[in-house]
Amino acid sequence: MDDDILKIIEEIQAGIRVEENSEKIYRKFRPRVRSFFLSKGFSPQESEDLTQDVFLRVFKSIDTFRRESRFERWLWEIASHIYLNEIRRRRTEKRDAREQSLDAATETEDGSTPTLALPSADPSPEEEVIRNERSKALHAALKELPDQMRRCCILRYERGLKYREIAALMGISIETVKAHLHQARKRLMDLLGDDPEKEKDQ
Amino acid sequence: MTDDADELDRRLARLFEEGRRREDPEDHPAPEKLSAYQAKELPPEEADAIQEHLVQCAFCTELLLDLEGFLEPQEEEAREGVADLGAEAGWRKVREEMGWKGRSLSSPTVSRGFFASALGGYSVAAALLVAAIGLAAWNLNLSREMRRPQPSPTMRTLEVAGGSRGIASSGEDGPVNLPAEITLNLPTDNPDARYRVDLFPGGSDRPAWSLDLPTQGLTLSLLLPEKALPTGRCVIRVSPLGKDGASRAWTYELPVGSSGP
Repeated sequence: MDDDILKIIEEIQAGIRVEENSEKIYRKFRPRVRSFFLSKGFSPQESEDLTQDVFLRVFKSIDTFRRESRFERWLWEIASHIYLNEIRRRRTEKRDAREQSLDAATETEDGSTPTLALPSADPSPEEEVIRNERSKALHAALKELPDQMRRCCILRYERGLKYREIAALMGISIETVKAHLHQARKRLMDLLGDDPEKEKDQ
Repeated sequence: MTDDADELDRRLARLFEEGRRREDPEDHPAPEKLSAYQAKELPPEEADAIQEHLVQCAFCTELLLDLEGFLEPQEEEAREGVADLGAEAGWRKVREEMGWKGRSLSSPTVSRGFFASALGGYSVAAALLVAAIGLAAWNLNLSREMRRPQPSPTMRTLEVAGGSRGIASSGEDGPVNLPAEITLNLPTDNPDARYRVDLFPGGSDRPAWSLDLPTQGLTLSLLLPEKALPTGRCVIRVSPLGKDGASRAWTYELPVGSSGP
């Protein structure tokens, strides 16, 4: 399958049946690229437009593709760039809109200062102090762990990732992830006390 | 023992929750760097820096997990010979942008007569405006919906009844909800290599879509994406290519239900 794709690209790069071969690539990989954008929360139409942008960039720069790497990897890199650019563009638009609305909110029609809603009530100062202390203790304990073990621990407990996802991200086996987490639990228990939430009750 | 470990996991998760970082870092490694990290092509110091970034950055974590998915074979890729109207429209735009003029030999071609007319153009502009306003309000729910697995298209096979002309009823199975993959059984043992397929929505005499489809054995297949056709009765006309094609056309009837899940 990979060989087929590489042959098609080789032909395009050599100027052979460029349109026909490009169409084969488009048809094969369009669902994958479109799913990528759909999974990021873009609407079907936005995903369709971004998918077209990806393939336009693919076909315009296909001469730069090195055939020793996988085409799918290169395609993902291009899709990710388009995605990042779109996120940045939207962020800028949002910021501009917010600045405008703030400008508009500085003065009301009758010249008085507008009332701004206060944020909802957060934890009490005492609770906040206790929470900060616990957080500091946890992060101090985490620093005592070897780097990879600490990273596995954060990805698991703070980010809620699955073992296989952590393994993929860290480039290690699932067994190694499990072993790291097992060790991390024991060490954290020692460092924070038997019950990691013990300080909560103090 | 396992219960104890689970309980400990839950407590740790709660403790981490309290100290959770609220925002990702502002700067991210370039996708090429992430890709090289995944391929284990980076020197150890750089790989270590990327790993540390991943621990802090949900955005890059998600992106890198997408790469894993990209490299795996995909089940949902387009089936050969099935014309997806969304793909056809997209390909046409890519081709135009690239300045490729030649007609594709290996795939169906599409034209949209209705959209080409002046009346059709204004109608489309008005419809797009309404859709854009609706979309803004709907965006949050839609985002959530899109993160769920996408529904598989409905499959429906249509037959021509009553000889080689006239409208045939396919209505036994009720309306078809889009997206749907439609197979048209050809009432001939010696089909041509390609046929022209016109889709007429709700009694209109102007086709919303016109395709030039390759024959798959004794059938033609096409994928109708969400909202490709309005709800109601749609007539599909299949005619041989060439001057007298229209006089030898077959007609199928497709009752269209709602679009989307």
